Amino acid sequence: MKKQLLTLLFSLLVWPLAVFALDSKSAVGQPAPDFSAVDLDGKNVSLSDYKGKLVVLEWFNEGCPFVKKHYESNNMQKLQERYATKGVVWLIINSSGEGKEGYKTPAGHKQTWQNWGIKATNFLLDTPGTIGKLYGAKTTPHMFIINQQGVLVYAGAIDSKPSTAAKDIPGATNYVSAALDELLSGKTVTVASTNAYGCGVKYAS
Amino acid sequence: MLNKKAFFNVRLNLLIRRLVGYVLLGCALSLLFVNFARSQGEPFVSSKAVSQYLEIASNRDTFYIAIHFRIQPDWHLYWENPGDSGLAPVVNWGGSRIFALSPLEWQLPEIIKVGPLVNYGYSKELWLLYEVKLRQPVTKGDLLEFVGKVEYLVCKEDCLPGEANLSLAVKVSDQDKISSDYQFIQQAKDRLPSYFQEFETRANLVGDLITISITPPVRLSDPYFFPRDQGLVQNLSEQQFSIDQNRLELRLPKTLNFSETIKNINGLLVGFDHNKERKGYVISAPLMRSEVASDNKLPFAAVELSTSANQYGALTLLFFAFVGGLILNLMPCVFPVLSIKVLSLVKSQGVDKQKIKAQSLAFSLGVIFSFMIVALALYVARFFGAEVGWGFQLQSPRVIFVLAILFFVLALNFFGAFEIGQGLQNYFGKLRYDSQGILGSFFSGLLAVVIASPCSAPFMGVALAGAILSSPFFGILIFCSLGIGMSLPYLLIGLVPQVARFLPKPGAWVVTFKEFMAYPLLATVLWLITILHKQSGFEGVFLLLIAFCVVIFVTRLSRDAKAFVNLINHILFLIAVLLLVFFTYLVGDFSFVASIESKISNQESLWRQFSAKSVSEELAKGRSVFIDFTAQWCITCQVNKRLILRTDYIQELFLKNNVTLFVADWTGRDPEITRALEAVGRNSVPTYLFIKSQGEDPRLLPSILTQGMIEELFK
Repeated sequence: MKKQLLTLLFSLLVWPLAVFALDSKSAVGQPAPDFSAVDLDGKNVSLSDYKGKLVVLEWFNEGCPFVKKHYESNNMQKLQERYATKGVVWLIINSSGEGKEGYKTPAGHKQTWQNWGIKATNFLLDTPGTIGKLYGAKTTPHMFIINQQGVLVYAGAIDSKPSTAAKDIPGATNYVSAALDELLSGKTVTVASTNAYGCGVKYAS
Repeated sequence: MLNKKAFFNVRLNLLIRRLVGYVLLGCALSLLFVNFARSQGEPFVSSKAVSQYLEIASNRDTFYIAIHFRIQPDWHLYWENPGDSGLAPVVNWGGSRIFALSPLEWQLPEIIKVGPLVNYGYSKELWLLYEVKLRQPVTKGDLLEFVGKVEYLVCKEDCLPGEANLSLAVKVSDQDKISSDYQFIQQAKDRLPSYFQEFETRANLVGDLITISITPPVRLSDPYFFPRDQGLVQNLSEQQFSIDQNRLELRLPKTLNFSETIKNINGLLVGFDHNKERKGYVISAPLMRSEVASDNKLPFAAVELSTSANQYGALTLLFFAFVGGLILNLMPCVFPVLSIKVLSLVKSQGVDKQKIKAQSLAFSLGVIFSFMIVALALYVARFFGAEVGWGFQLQSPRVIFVLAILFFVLALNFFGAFEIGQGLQNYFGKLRYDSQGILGSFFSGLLAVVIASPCSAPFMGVALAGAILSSPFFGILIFCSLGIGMSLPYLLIGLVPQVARFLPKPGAWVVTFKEFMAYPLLATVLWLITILHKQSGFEGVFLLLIAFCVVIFVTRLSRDAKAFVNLINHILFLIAVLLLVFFTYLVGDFSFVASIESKISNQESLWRQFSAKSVSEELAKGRSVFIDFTAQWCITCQVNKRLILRTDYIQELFLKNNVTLFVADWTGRDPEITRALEAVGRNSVPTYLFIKSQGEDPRLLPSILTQGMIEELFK
């Protein structure tokens, strides 16, 4: 009798706590939606292929001055290279609609890849803009990070200084590398969501 | 010879000159090229610094300059919040000791829709205005030089960065000489957003919607809210709004990454006035977070208070609730009943220890169970839109009526007028009210909470507010810990036999003690009568007195146990109960009359009836405001009122310091007061609020007042 009552009391205390822990609202902190797309070689790639790994999504448009800022200064390539060595998967996504700025044939994109010396894991084509709209990608660059458990843990800008001038890069806080460093050392991301800056993604419609 | 030499010299001269020329040309070309590489936007936008005046009189101390952009068709520049993408122009001016420049004054932006994205910016042309203020006297012949640089992003669908150097000189002379741009700058100035004068702006976050309301409604057709900060509202090409005679209201979805730390909603409200001219107003409102629809919001809404519930951690709140529950035991309306409960445990000291344990556990469960019921009732009521807080039960005269009868019955019982075990048992038959049994203990636990409800302990206010403002599950947890706090003494007695040993030995004194304890119960009855009087007037009190007669009659019924008398007793008892139920029903109808009476009596004193509107008005007049959130049924409130607030000394102190006094009487249900309490993070009375002046943070005073605390306000 007494034992049962104590168990009852205990469960009355613990049960609400358990519900508490599940409470969350924003897209950051939610499971990242799965997607699949074709890469420059025509191969099918899915987000779920990289289960258990840290994944970075970078929205890309080579004609955008904000993207140029980070590639012509070699800033983006350095980030891609540094985190590739730590096992981070870096996917570039191009959501430019046909005929819009940043739209190219796979061969054209390959040329850009070579010219700029891009060091990402892969380059995915999203011409209909489905993935972009799924993630709410608004600008190029717009950065997303998905953790090993498949949860979206960062969404927003590449760094803290919205500008097209490469001279602003050294003085800016790079949110993506800050988040990746935290994740790689097993911590939670401090700045999990920022306002992305850049050109609008050139969606087909 | 001489000629030849001269000729040679000329040739050399020419050669050198040409060389220098080429070098210069090359430099210039390369400069141009470098400049072009950075400023690809140049073909699509041209920029120039202009001034209202070419020359100013030496006594002029202020005028406007501007950067004028001409933008090619289909291209655009951005507003300070560019929207989903883009970048606002960045201007850097060199400093000067002679003059100061105001912050950039932006023109009203337009909505630029690009696919699914929305941008805020400008097309065709843009005037960026600066007000120049002279810092020191100037004399004729002085030159004001403005040197700066603008960096911008110009987009059609594609974007190009651009930059331009700005330079402008204004001469000081005898009189003003306007420039050809004078009237354009003047027009641009007229188009700048204006500030609201007699309008009240409120912003409220309900779920995922931010509601901005302007009272009275500003006359604008097709209103659109341009958020000044990114990350506030989702940028949509069309926004929802409604206008009625009271207010203009915009409902905007918040962004997914909306931060919990956002305290203000800043932006522009832009629409067309009655002349079809585009007109904009600056919106800056503190953001209220509330689960209740926006209506009659207070001007001091979203300010975080030093003692508000949200500030405490979950564990602290639970602790407060626990301590609050413990303190409840000492309240005059609870102590008698519970001390008797302890004594009944003591009586059974000789009996089985196991039985005592079971009883104390059953009692505690009864207490916790009924707190959970209270919590559930609270949330169900709120779910259906009722605006309730702690003590809400006491806002109904019917509940007061029933409680008064209950306490009266208990007092009679303590006086020994009847024995519950013998008398009522006859009528309840199977459901035996056995104060010694397990079920009996459970029910006395329930009863304990019912009678504890009028006494809100000081700690409970914050904890309960926390419970109500957070998730229901946490709320139930809070109520649970209240219950555990309240039943702790009995749990201790039951589970730790050593504690029971410290209790006094039972004897004849127990009867005397019980009779003595009847008096606090009668005092509670008297106090409940004063509340009832306020809620339902004399009629209510009269009905209660008749009900008391009925109760006394019932307690005298059960003397004779003969079968025939017993039947009549049964019938009489039923009639009596029906009468009491009928009275209880009647009491509810008197409440309306009483509320009018109480309003009139309040106006007569120095204390004014609370309303959000009159508080705002008083603040606007430059007065300070003190609000006493009180209720007749709140003991702490009454103590504070008699000992501190209504004393001559304090009243005079308030008068001297230009304080308008408001009383927010929560004795009956008043949604406006409930919302006001919620706005400051509280959900119970007493709550004392002091606002020194408009725009200043309101101060929340502790639940138990001292003279010193009031004096402190004016230091």
